[in-house]
Amino acid sequence: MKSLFRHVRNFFVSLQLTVALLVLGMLLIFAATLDQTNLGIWGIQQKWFRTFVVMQEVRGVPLPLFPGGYLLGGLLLINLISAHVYRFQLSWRKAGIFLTHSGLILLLIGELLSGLWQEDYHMRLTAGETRNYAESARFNELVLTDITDAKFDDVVAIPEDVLAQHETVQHPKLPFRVVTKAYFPNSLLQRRATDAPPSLATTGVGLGVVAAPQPLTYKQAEANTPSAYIELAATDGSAGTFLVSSGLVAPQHFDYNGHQWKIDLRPRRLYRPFSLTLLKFSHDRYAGTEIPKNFSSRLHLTTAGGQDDRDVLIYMNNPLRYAGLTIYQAGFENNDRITILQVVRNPSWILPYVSCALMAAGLIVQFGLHLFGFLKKRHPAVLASA
Amino acid sequence: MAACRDTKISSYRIPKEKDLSLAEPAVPPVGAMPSSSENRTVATVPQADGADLIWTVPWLWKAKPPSAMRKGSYTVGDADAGEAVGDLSITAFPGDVGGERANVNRWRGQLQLEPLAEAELSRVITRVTQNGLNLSIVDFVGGPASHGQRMIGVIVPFKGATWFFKFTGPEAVVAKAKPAFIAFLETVKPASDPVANASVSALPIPADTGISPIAMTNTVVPPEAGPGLAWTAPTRWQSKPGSVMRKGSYIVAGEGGVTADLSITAFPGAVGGELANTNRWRGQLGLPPLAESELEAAVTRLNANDLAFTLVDGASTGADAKRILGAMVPYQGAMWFFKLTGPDALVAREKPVFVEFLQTVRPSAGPRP
Repeated sequence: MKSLFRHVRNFFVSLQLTVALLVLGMLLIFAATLDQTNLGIWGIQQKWFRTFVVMQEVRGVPLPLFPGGYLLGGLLLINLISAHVYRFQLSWRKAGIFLTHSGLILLLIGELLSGLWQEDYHMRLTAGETRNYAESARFNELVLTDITDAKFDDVVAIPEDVLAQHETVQHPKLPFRVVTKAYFPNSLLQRRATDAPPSLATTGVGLGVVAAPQPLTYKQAEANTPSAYIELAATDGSAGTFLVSSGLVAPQHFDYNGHQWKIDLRPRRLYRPFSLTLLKFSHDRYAGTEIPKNFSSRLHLTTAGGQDDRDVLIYMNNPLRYAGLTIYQAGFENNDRITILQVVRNPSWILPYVSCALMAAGLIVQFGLHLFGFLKKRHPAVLASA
Repeated sequence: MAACRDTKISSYRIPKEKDLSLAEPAVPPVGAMPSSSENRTVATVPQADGADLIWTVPWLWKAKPPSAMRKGSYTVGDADAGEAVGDLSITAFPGDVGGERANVNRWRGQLQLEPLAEAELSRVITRVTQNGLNLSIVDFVGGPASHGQRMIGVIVPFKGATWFFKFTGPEAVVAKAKPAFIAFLETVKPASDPVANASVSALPIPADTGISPIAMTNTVVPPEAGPGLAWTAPTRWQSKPGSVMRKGSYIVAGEGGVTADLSITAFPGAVGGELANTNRWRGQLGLPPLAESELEAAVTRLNANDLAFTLVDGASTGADAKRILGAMVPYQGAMWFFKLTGPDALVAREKPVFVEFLQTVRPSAGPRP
């Protein structure tokens, strides 16, 4: 028993394991980079890094191909921590190494937490426009909004994943059940031919438009267009089957039991208790050329409670950090009329900064100790030669 | 990641939001039309100032989601069939965007070609007027020798903005798709032009003649490619504005408002030969194809101004019978087609005039008969 423990311990504290993991890590990055042409940046992160085992389909059968990022990173973390625990000595001479490795451990943990917690959104603003929400670049939601009230909208948002699983939704705020009759993660919307077979849709835009399923795309320049046929089933019969799609540009309106509703499949929204108004987007170029020099957005930030009411400037490498969000200048559209801001929610955003500071401090201490030791040794030699 | 992938249904109350300006749910502007009756789709791209251009793309071209800067974006070619494909981007910017030369040279730069001087521009630009638009077309091949890239770029000034249609891809891909691209350019028109809108219908897919339909109908011989033919048309034939495809175009009017259409086109090479072209025209009339041995008896040979015409005359049957009077003549490595189409009676009446007209056809530098 003891010898088994010793074997396990020796395995996890060994430098050979560190080297092997680093080599495997390099191979992983290399292979994932090559695969990026097929899957795009988001796809490879999911397939190669945010997984324990990289799976590859061979003739429709998923087979394990390579250890994934979580496995390699996790083992590296265990390796680092156990080596420290095993070889730990409380002495000044080891302080630098201890600090550097602590920083590295924190960096690995930070990456894990970013992978788990980080959410990316976009906010598009035309000059003068105000928004208090950002939209997900990847995830969509089916929204049913009761717009009867003159001042407020009552929204029920159902994540796209629920539609993908064909779950029937019964929500207390809805007078009907939401039944997914068909769901396509990517589709092409086509005008329906007059001699086409009957549509699944019984009302709305789906009477004239059909969604044809398409293979998922992972290319960076392309976007998937999810579509679904949604039936709103009530106790007194069906309120209709709608075609909803992120490719449709406006919600569809309908009346039910004296209430006015709208239904839409749209990018998932993140509402925040503050709003941003675009005052001006600037696209500066170097004089006499078309070479971009700087992109910046001057915005007005307002909170509902009036705690904040001020102008802010976001430009490249100078994001706005506010209310747990980091808001970056990400792009522009329509001849500089629209600014695109990237909105990132990452509760662990501080960890990489702390870990880098720890590693820097550790290296300074380590090299400093060596330098002082060297100078101490050299000093008597200088004296002797004089 | 876990937070993003949750399936939690949320509900909340928000201050009233306005929808987009569209009162009705709108069909997305781009998409394909796979049904046999409608094989093209019209894309309308609104501009901020309300001035639009619209166009019609072959259904094989896949619409890509427009990216930040693009008005339209298509994959040209059949990617599903495993073919290499080209990219068509449609963009528009206010003003003249630096002018024609700057833009042409920008494109040349992308292909690693030397910039051109102002005086050299006219050599590379083909200017075409159609649907009330002035198109400046350039066609460049460049890039590294190992994988040559070709670009057909079109600059269209329209209502204070400049539209760019840029078709790029591997040289062979662009060369193959050029006829289809030129045919596509014919469909570009102002969205607000009701006359143009009414007159543009889906591009027809010609009858199955065994010849590439695109090569038969849509290839254009650029004017600067070589010497052309000239002719003298009867004054009562009404000239129509030329288009990318047509070298010449006339309306022949008859009694009671009926009209026939004379088109003059030219394509490089033999375009399938006499038999294939004769049968293509017969196919358009619903007539059965001829065998090789039957061809000689079905055509009339005519020589004029050192040109050897092959004249084909065919008519469909029925209440509204149509007649095609076609003449083909090889000239300087290209095949020229003169085709008069219209109601049977009108075209039959016009035949002597048409034959007389053919005798005025001559090399453009030649003497006027």
